[in-house]
Amino acid sequence: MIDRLLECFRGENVVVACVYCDFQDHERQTTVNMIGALTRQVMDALGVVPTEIKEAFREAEREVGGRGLKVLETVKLLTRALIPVKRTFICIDAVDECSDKHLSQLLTSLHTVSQTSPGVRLFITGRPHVRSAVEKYLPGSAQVIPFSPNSDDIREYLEMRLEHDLDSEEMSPALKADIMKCIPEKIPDVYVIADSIPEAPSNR
Amino acid sequence: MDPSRHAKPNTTGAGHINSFNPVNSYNTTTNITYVDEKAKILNWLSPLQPRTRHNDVRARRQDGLGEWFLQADEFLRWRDGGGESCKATLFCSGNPGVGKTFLR
Repeated sequence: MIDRLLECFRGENVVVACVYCDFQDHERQTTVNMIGALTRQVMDALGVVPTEIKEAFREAEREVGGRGLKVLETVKLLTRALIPVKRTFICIDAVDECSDKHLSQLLTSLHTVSQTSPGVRLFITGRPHVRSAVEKYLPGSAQVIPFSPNSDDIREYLEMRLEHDLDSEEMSPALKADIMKCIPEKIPDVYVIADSIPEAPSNR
Repeated sequence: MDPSRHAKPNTTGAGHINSFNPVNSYNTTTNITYVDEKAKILNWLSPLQPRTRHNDVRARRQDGLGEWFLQADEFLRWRDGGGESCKATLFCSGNPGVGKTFLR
């Protein structure tokens, strides 16, 4: 998705920034850090640190031991970093893996950013149960598209996995054909694309 | 840069170019300070490195996956549209492992 957007808008005043949420990293994945990571990417893409951000940093540094950012401040800094950008795509992957507290804070912050910066487009992925949170904290702004792999996706994925199957003794052409026929028929919307397709069945 | 240029006295036409060297070295010094502060600012903003994870996703994904999604009208309208007529947020909802992260 990110690379596709980058290719599509190459050479234009467009920035793509992303955050991957991970339930194993709750300690570091705070709203401040996630919004800050977006700001970092915007500044990296533009190659410039806006004066206001430098000043905010210097002011925070003057305080004893340095001072961390607060949510509202970090939202303000992101909004500032976005001013020169015509269009920004912000991609948040697996938003359901945020802790509850940060899920609501993050979505509220993103809502503020998108309201303040008209060129912002948000792409959020997550499990179906966070849909209500997305709709609640991004009121009127979210369109929901259910994603499930179609049969072409499943077939292509199976072909790729079978091609890389090292256990070629077990994997006969007949077994391959059987897998290619049966699995796409039997799997409508389940755990297909993750690493959950069994390797070549052995004689267990 | 050719070090011999530094050795030339500023008596020739080329010397005028050399005479800018001190300016250049001043700039270099300024840049070092700037880069140093820039790195500190970036760390102050966030310790997260989403690009690392992105490179991992890029290495593992299968091209062509979810092409139907990236060609869907809803997606194209979101990508190219603007203003109030078009919703700014697209929420791609799906169970774990269906390939949302690996959309290409």
